[in-house]
Amino acid sequence: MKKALAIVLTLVLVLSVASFAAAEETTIRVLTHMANQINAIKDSFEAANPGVTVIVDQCNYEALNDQYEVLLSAKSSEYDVLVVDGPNAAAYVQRGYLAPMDDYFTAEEVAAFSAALVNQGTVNGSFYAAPLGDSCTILYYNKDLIAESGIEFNVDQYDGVNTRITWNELIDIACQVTKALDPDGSRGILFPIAFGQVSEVYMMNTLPNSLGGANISEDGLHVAGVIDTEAWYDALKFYQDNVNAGIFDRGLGAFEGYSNFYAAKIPFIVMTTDSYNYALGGGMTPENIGFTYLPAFDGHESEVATACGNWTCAINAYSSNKEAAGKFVNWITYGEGNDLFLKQESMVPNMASRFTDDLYAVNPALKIAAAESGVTSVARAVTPGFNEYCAIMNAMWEDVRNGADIEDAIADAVDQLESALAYYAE
Amino acid sequence: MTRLNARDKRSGMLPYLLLLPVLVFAVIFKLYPIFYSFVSGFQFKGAVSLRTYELMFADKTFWNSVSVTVKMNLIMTPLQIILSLIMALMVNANLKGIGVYRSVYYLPVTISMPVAAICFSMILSYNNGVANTILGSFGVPVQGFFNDKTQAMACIIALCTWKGCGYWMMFYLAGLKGIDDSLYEAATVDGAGYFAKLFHVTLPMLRRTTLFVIVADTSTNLLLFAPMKLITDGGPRSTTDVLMYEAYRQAFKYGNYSKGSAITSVLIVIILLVVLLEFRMMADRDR
Repeated sequence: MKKALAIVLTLVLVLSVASFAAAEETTIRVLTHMANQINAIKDSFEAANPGVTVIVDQCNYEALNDQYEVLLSAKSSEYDVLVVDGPNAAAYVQRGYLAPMDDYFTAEEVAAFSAALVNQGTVNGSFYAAPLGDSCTILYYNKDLIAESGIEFNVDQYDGVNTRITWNELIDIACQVTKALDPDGSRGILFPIAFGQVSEVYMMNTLPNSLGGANISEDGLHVAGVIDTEAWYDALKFYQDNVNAGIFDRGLGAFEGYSNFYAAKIPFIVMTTDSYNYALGGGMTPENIGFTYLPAFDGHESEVATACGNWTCAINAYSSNKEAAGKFVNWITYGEGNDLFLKQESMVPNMASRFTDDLYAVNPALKIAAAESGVTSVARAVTPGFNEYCAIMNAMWEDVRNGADIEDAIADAVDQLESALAYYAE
Repeated sequence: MTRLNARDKRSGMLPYLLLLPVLVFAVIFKLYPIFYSFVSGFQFKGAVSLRTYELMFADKTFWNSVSVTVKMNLIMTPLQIILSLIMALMVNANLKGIGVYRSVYYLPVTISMPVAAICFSMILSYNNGVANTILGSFGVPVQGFFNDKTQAMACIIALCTWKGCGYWMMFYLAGLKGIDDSLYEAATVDGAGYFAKLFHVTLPMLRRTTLFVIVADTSTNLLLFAPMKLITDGGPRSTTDVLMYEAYRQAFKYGNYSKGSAITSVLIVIILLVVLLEFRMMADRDR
């Protein structure tokens, strides 16, 4: 009898320990469009946090927002950590999709991030979205093509603070380069200048911003009186005139310009600083990738605006593993995970102390980001209707590129956005 | 006698039992979502309200989508039906090797819409599309196609017509095969020519097939979505922003499920009205 009792008690003990051990095992799932980069570093987090396993799922960049709407509106707890485009954070908080992270970040840790990135992820005083990094738009050029054309293009004269190339100077040089390289069009140079994220507000709004135009009203609920202003008309006319003249790209989709630049089909292109590493991956070499500060408009040199903001990490409000998810988000944004991540993704760092020589060695274009950050950088529209803003404004840019009457295109965008944002005004 | 009645009852129940699984699936996956959609449309930020409909009816984008949807269907549906009928009449001929033509005409149906849409967008690409290259060799300037507000809808209609006509052709072909040859023989004896036989024998005998094709094609076209999602995003200048795409955009891009549901409800009502009208018109002709 005693023996049997001892066996039963031992079994109960073993089962209890086993179940306790099993309970200690936590798996967190991450949804992102950068799975390769996060998979490459997650072992380090798992080693530092025994019992926590990280599974990273890839989702196409264009489909990520749609995925979130489908999953989170159904209150899905499938993913614990969400990689969210910064300006969307406020809208997601309003819809109840994100959990506050105040328990997982100290006030000092939050304060270490760049102020603009903290503002982007803070709603009603709570911190919801921690920045993975920042971004910056710069002008790239193909050094080999410039040298082959025989046209002089010296970027050393620009320091970004006091001097930078103007759009008119760039257009003049880019046309000369294209004419010298491909006088009869047989070589297949597509356009003298391209915008990498063409017809996307992130990149295109820097044109009206560089003429003093704002993106949206202070309350984030109106565009009337903001985008139907002289700065916007002038910027759109400048853009459309140059598309019509065959100088700026037409017919290429967003990101199609990138591969054409890597293939030496476009001599000059506006891209983000992290594109430097993508260009290397696309077959270019450090010797033939040139870059300089984003151009300014003549007479508006002091108003030049560069794009900024980037992807953030947030916790799904419906996650049942918030504690482990919070640890992971802290690690990859504030902790040592961010240093590892920056080496993989080459984003602009999310805090000043991370601009190091080591990082510049990996991506020298980040030196320009360091100079522009906080000086010329303009955040995207801050509005709970950011998705609506992007969809309607992107369509407006595309319509203008395709020859729409500028006044009509702006009037349509104002009408549509005022209707769409009225939902959030109530 | 009693045993026979029981067997009769059991066998009488059999068709309903066999139909039950389909009915259950139809209720779960068709009727319930429609009902849910109607209910969701009457919600605004979680509360029961007509505000979603008020905002929707005051929104120019919605009315533009209604206009685009109606215009597209007024052109595309008759075009597809006429072309399908012509194709069916052509492949109904008793010629050697006609099966090859039937297969070729039917082939686009076997290609999925996303694949077809991507192929068309590549062929009609502004920069390096085959269409512009061919036109360029004849001195025609570069065309915008899907990027041009005057051409985008025509391109989508061309894509859907190319893809859809073979399908509807098969129904017409089945209808044509069901027409008794003696009717044509009698018409020939009466001295009727090809067109007299077509209008006085073939088309009246195809009335039921035509009714099915009209109703099915109308509802398919009113729910068209993939080419807009994959190629135009509703542009340029909202000229391809049909109701179905606008409903998708509201629900899955903007996270406004109430408005997406309200638009879907309006679309369902439009489809029901159009189909009822089509039934009515065909019934009048029958009388």
